[in-house]
Amino acid sequence: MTTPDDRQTCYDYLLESLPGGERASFESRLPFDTALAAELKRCESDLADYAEASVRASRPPERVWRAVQAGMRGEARAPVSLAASRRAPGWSAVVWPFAALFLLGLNAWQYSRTSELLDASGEVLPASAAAALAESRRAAAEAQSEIERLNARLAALEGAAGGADPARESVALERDRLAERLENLEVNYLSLVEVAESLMNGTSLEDRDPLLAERAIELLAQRDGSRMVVSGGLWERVAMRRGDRAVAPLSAEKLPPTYSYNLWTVGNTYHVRKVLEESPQSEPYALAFVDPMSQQAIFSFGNLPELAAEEELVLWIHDEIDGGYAAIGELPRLENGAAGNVAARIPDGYEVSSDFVLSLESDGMDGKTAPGERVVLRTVSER
Amino acid sequence: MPPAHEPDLSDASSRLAVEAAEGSEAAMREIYDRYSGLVHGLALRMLGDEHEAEEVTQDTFLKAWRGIASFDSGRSSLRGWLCIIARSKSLDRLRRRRVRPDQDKARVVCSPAESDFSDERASARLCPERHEALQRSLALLRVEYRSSLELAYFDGYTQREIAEILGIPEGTVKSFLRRGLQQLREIFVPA
Repeated sequence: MTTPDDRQTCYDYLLESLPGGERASFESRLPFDTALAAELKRCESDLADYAEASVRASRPPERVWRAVQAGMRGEARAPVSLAASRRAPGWSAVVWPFAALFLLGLNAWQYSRTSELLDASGEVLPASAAAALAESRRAAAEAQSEIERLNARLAALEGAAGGADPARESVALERDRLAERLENLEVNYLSLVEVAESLMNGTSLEDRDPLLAERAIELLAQRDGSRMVVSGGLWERVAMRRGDRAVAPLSAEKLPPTYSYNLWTVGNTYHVRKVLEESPQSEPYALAFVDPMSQQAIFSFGNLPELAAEEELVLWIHDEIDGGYAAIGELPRLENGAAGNVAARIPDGYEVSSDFVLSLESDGMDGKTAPGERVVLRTVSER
Repeated sequence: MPPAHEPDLSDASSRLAVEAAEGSEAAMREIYDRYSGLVHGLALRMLGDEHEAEEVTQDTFLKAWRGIASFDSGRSSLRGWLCIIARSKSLDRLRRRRVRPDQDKARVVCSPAESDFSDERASARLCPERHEALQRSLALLRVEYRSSLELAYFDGYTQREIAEILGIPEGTVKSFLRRGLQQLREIFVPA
């Protein structure tokens, strides 16, 4: 039996307007309170009815399904764990050669910075990106043209022969193969356009840091086992704030000169956060790569404090909407305690744009208590 | 009162969810065919941007694919679950924009010409009759409740922000939302 208050709490929960503590308390009741769970389902259905009544259903273009399908197939091949995913190619074999071509060109551009074109608006578009787009367009046009030719041949064969005809089946097979290739090319082309747009609309050249790209390549190569994953469009600065074991967050004036970027790759967006500092040898720092497609992240930490025997470093994700924290990883204890990497999975319910906190905890902490006064590093976007 | 229940698809949806959890791409395609119109329409309504709405639709179904194994049809309907994901994804983008979309953008609703009801499969899945019945029911909602609900659900405003926008006390907003949701249930569920 639920009360009107329970119903309201269900609505607040679904509308994400329940404060963090109450949200956790509500969730803890659900597995044991079947009436409450049923009420939640009803409220969810009410809101879906409301959405359905308020919006005009609008079927998205077919390319959206193709992108979903490509993502599904990539994930089907890539196991959940980061370690395992290093062995997985992660994308369609048909698309990879094009992606590789594009990426090599883009990386070459990023380091040499010699070949640039100006588009109509005066923005910089790397020649390699333009060339890759042109190549993708050309390949797609070729495939389309070949499909049309095969369709015509197929029609002629169908008119000439009835029943099973090996020649006709062979042509149909070839046509279907090309249709699949065209589909992949279209998905690839859209990704290329996206990357090119990010480059054109992104930050100025001075903001693109070759060292960051190099580090990204290194870390992502560890993750995916191939440099082909990485392209180099860096954009969108976000500030990063460091607590350095301080009790309170630092004030704006004390913010170190830290920046972060999003690194676009073909098919995926990797959010790259990097600390730029004057004395990297002495201060704790972090690089983070967050892959929204797989909800996975790699963090690389440096210059971390020495750990006492009963201490450990724990990485948290923070949901700024409801104020909750979840422990997503621990730093492996190193002999010198000075650096480390964490491969983590973003828990369901948290967005990849969430903030992360590294804190010093008692050994064997339960992972449920939010980090308090022992924050070593904290990323805070400028949202 | 028009019948505004979701068509009796719950069993079929549960079966599709099970098949998708077992890795069936065809089942996922069926789920997509059935609900992508609603998901895309919801994202478009919230974001007012076709490109972003398409991205949210893509993200929503990919997230659903990843999480379908943990989907519990006893605790959630596939339609409701997808709406929650799509709304959350859209809200995340709205919050990242920092500047709220202008009223026109926030109120974008596809015209019939823009929506793909000419597609036989789409019209079969999206059920325009049901949509119209729901719309007629929604029109019965008191305007102040409706405004508060729209700002909370589609724009992701907090109760305090809604109070500022509407120029009324926060407690009144809370009351409007509570009564609006109560009235919603009454008008959507025939006695």
